Amino acid sequence: MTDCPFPPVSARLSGQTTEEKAPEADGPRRWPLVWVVSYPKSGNTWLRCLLDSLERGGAAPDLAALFHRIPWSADRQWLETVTGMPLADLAGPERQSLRAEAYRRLAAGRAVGAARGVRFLKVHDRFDPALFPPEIQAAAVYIVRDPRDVAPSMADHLGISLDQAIARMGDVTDWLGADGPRPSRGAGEWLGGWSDHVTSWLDGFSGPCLVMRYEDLLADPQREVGRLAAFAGLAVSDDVLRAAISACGFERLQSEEQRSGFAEKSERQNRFFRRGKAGAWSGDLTPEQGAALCDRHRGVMSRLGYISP
Amino acid sequence: MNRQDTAGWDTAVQAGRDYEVCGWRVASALALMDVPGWAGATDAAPELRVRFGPVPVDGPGLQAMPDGAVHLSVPGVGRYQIGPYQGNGGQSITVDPDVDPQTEGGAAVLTAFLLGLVLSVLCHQRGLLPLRAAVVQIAGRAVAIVGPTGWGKSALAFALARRGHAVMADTPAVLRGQPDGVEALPVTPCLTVWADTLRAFGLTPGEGDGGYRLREGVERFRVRGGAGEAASACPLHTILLLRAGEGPVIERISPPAAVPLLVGQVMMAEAAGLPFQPGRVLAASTGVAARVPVWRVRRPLDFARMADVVRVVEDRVTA
Repeated sequence: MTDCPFPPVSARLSGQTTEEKAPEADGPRRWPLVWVVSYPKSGNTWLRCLLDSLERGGAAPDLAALFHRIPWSADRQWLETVTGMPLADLAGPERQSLRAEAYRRLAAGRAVGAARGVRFLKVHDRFDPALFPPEIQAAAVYIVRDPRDVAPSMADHLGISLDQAIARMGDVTDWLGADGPRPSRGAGEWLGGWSDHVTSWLDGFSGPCLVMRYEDLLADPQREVGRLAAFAGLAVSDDVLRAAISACGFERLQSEEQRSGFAEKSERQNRFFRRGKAGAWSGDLTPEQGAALCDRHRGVMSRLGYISP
Repeated sequence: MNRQDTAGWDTAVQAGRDYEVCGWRVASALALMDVPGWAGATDAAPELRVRFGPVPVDGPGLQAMPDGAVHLSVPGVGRYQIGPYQGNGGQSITVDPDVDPQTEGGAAVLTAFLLGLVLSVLCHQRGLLPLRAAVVQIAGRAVAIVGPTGWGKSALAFALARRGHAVMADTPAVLRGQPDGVEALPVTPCLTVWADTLRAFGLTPGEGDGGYRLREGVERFRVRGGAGEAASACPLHTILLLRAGEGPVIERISPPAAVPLLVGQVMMAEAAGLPFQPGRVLAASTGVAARVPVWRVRRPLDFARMADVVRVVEDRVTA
């Protein structure tokens, strides 16, 4: 797979059109609502653990409470609690309009019940202005991961083959949690393909957006978590930063999952936190599978520094 | 009633739209599907009127109006106005439909939401507790089966109904506190179930005993509960909280532990935070947990062990 070299993690993101706002002079700005966005299996939960730990002075992540502190924006039960509306009795487009309304309320400080005080929401949807209305004036943190590492993790999470995962990552019509005989935990999310997902947010989202690479977060957590804290408006000391990084180390998250479980683990998985490595794809994918991903996503992978242009 | 109210009431009665919900006489311009007709005194005053009219809203969901009314917008179905609040609760519900109420399908979906979300708001206004639960009478004892949508409460209620137990309500269960207990009020003998529930019982969704589809694009069906109908309020004997797991296993939950579990299943809890009666959800849930035994039922989510689950529930209630 010599045509798809793994580049240095310091590679600069190129072609990025969204803006990373610097902290303001009188302290970091606190956006009323921050989307914590990623294509699935790209480090979203890790980011949520870090944000939660930073907000609580570097405390160890409480996986059981993560769901309440930084909810999943498409979580059916959470949405029903926030809106009072039974999603099961609504058709797909109606559920989407109800989701947008829930976010409007959250951003306007009109949230009740489980949503009170929530500032961060996990998002797996591709960007859609109807779902994430611009008038909300939210910010976004977008974490991206080499799609060659995403594919094996996604296959494990969904209980599908690698080839099926790779096919889904190229399918711009792909939905997660679409209607089945029973409601899934999610209200239904339009993922799109991997490239489509990335560009929809980086090019389509008009609010402030911090783009982070999973690989950079692994290689230089001090710098990357510092960027995250500043962007999210969390005024934290270096000690808190270090404590949060340590508390959210991959082994710590794994042992926490082993000790108390994690509700977001799929039924098909042995464990949610699998390896937390960058570049492990070289042992997971056949050369043909790696090449297929590079061919399909060459433009965006190159833009993000995962392959040479 | 003022003059206009009297005229509206006469029209509804003449049209035969004279119903009973929660023991209230209801005069309705909307045909309420699968709701029992009024069987009480012919000179009893209506306690609730349902009429058509414009309801302006600002986005889907719940909205409190300055005059104390509550507006509720259900995407693709319509808008409802509950109240305004007048002392002992809203006396009228205004329906502004997006579907044709003259058709059976339109009336059915408007009724389903009226007896679900709208009734839940009304319960908060009237000091009643609307729980996300189905209620079935077993040996004359009301049993509330509590759980979020998709956790199988209506499926279990349907299985019990197929054994001949009467259905009293399905989401919400309407509970009224009494000095020495809690009463469940009768709402409708209909259940809303998923298509796979019907298939598990050998029924074809939308045909015969398989009921009718709630809405296009939604795999949910309204079915009549079964044999009997429970026409009057009944003491609530048992509350069952459903959980997925091995089993069936039934275990008692202490009242203090049950309170937050019940609070989480109060419907339209947001409405309780509106100007009327703030803080009463916690108080009412605490009162219910103190007066009615709460049990956790662990069982597989599929239908393979349903007969065992039914037996465990019947044994518990009749013990």
